[in-house]
Amino acid sequence: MNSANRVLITGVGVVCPIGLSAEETWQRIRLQQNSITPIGFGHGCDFRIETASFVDCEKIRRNIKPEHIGYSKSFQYGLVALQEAIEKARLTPGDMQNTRIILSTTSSGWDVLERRLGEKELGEFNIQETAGWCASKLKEISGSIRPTSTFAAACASGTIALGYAYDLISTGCEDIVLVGGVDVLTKVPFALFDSLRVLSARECRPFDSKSSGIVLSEGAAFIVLESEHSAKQRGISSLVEFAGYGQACDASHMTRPSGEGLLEAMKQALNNAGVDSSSIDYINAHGTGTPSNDNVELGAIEKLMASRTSPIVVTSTKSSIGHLQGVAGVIEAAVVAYTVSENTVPPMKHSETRKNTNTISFDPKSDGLQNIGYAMSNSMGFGGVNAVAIFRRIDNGEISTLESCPRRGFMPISVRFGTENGGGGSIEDGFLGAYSFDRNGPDLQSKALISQVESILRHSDIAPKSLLRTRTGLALETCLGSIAVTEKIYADLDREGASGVDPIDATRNTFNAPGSFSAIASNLQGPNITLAAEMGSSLSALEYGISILQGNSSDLMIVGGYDYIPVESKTFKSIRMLGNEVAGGLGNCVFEASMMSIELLDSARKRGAQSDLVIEDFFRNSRRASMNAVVDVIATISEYLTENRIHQIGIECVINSKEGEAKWRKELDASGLKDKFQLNVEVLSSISPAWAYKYLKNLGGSSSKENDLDGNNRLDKYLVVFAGWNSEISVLRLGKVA
Amino acid sequence: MEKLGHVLAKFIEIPMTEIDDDASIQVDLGVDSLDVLKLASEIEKAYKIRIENEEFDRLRSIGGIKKMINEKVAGGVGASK
Repeated sequence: MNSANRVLITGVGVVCPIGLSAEETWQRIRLQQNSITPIGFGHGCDFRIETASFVDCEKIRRNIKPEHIGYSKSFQYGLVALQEAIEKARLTPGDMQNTRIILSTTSSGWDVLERRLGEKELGEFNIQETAGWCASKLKEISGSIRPTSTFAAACASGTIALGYAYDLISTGCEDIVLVGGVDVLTKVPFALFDSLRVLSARECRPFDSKSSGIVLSEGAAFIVLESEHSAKQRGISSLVEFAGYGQACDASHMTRPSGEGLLEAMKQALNNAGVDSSSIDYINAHGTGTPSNDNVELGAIEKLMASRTSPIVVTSTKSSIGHLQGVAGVIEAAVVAYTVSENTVPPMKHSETRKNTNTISFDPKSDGLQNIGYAMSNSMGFGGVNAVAIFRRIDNGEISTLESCPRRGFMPISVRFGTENGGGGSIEDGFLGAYSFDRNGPDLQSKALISQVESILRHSDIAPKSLLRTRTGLALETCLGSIAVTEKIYADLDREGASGVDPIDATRNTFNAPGSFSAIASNLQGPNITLAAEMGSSLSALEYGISILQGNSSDLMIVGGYDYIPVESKTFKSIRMLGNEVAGGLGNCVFEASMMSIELLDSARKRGAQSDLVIEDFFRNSRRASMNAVVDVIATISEYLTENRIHQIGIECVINSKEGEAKWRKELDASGLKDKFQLNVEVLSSISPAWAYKYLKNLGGSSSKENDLDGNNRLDKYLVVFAGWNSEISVLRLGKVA
Repeated sequence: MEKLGHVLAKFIEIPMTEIDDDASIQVDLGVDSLDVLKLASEIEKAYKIRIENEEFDRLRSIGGIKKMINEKVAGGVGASK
């Protein structure tokens, strides 16, 4: 029997400035075409650079239904790419029901957000502005009823999302995952890159002595990842296997990559794929066209490839498609899929002054390269986040194992929380000053999170700076990300134009800024991820963190949720305009954050670390395309208890509802669960994904004292069920804390 | 160059008059790369000029900055658009 399922690419879909399908994009890359045009949003901003690459929106509108035209552009691009991927993989509505959608993005819905910020009067908040919305809407339209996750870890997001899907399939948790990236290029992200002076006025020339910077771009891409077993059952052939991936954080500087994280990520990817560096035939580099980043990347590749006898062929397709940021990892994986299946290296435009070295060849027709068996795709992002994927060509007639590997059993997780004052209250109160950044360091939100992370690390019995921090990571989730910074940048631009934008704010505006600052402060070099949560949903970061631990990619993960929505911000007031039903979820959460450390219970015990909670089982579920109903929660609980033959357990049902608690209580009381089990129902309302972590922390606080959840010493096991505003339900089975 | 003195004071503790024109802003005066970007924006605002990306090398020393400002303010070579 297999120990892991092989993961295949069975479909792709692409929307970008040079093509509205994967095939069209690939052909144009081969012809070295690009599309650089004046920006349409620059009026009054006086940007230093005034060109970029844009998708032809007119053509997009012809490819989608009229009812979808009014939505955010990023959603529209995503929809077209998704439709193509579903078609290519011949996924039926029946297949789609059980297919999970995982997205990556940096600016999903920002066209809608900036429209509101640009209005003279206070505009109403639109749910499309939250980065987690797009995945939910695509799920609804595609007929999937599986939970979604959205990765917002800057320009490495796409490859990280692919890696997560790889883990889910190889461990037997999922059969098919649709991994996509969506991004729309708008004023604020453009202003940030402009303020950092990394944009090119001409073409993008990666690794060229005449390179002058990035050409920003937009679009969407989807890749269908599928277990070999599922593809065979459906009669779908594939020429490309996703062989492995790796990820690591530099933990050194927000905008200046060190190369160490990338080198580590490449090594991990090789290890994961079970090959050595001499097996890699081609690298699709991150290669943005900024001399400093390109040199760091080349340095890391040189180190990795030092022992090779023939040079490794390296190109960057950003010379044609531009930099699609959150989409980059996914679209470049699609390009690599073509590279591998057609045995053709994509050329780099504008290569006249690029020099080969003993280790690296930029020549796509390099003599040494006859056959592309393995190809690597690199991604690097703001905050020092790096991720690397390796793909492999499946030779015709290759014999494979038909048997599918069973779902991996759940290894119990030990949970530890920080000190009581490690969060909540005012930001200044929470800040411990754990690390001395200079004045170009973190904003208030990030400082508050740094203090929580430090507090948890101490409570996790890990001496600061002493543990092997390459094996310690961070996964946080947030609904509105760095909205306070975004509003400031928008206002600065409005008032003073491009010169008014503070380049330091560029380091604070990405969704993953607080997570990256925390990694720098606490030297966390393991996986560093920020997930975008839909309003009122939660626990996608816990799910991710558990997956990382169970896959042995890390020893300890800090997971949690946060949001910082200042009362004086336009966004706070705009949410208020939605009425109490939604605005009630704001509560008094000007700043809301809660997190915890998790590690495998076995390893916690081995090193003598204590536990505040023990998670014996965990899963996220979804039973319909949109909003949860009471019946879904009841069905999820009943099925779980029946399947696991559990007859005695306490059930904590935590409902995040905008509709108030009477209805939930009444229906749960009437469900019959109360007759057989000790059932406790809590109803709350919160926009930020911090709510579920906060609840767990309260449980952990009492359980550590009384060795039981409510101090009454009745039961050893509790089922804690969280139902958010959307269609997702999370179930944790908590065991006795030894 | 009074305005330049005010701008520089935000980044460098030593008064501008005491700094050698050839001293490197980053190496000798320890200004962080992000601060150089900020410095450029502040100079743009103070003198209402535009520093193009390809002119960034001229921000290496105080002398280079002074020369560039003079040229741009006078509307000579490399003046803002």
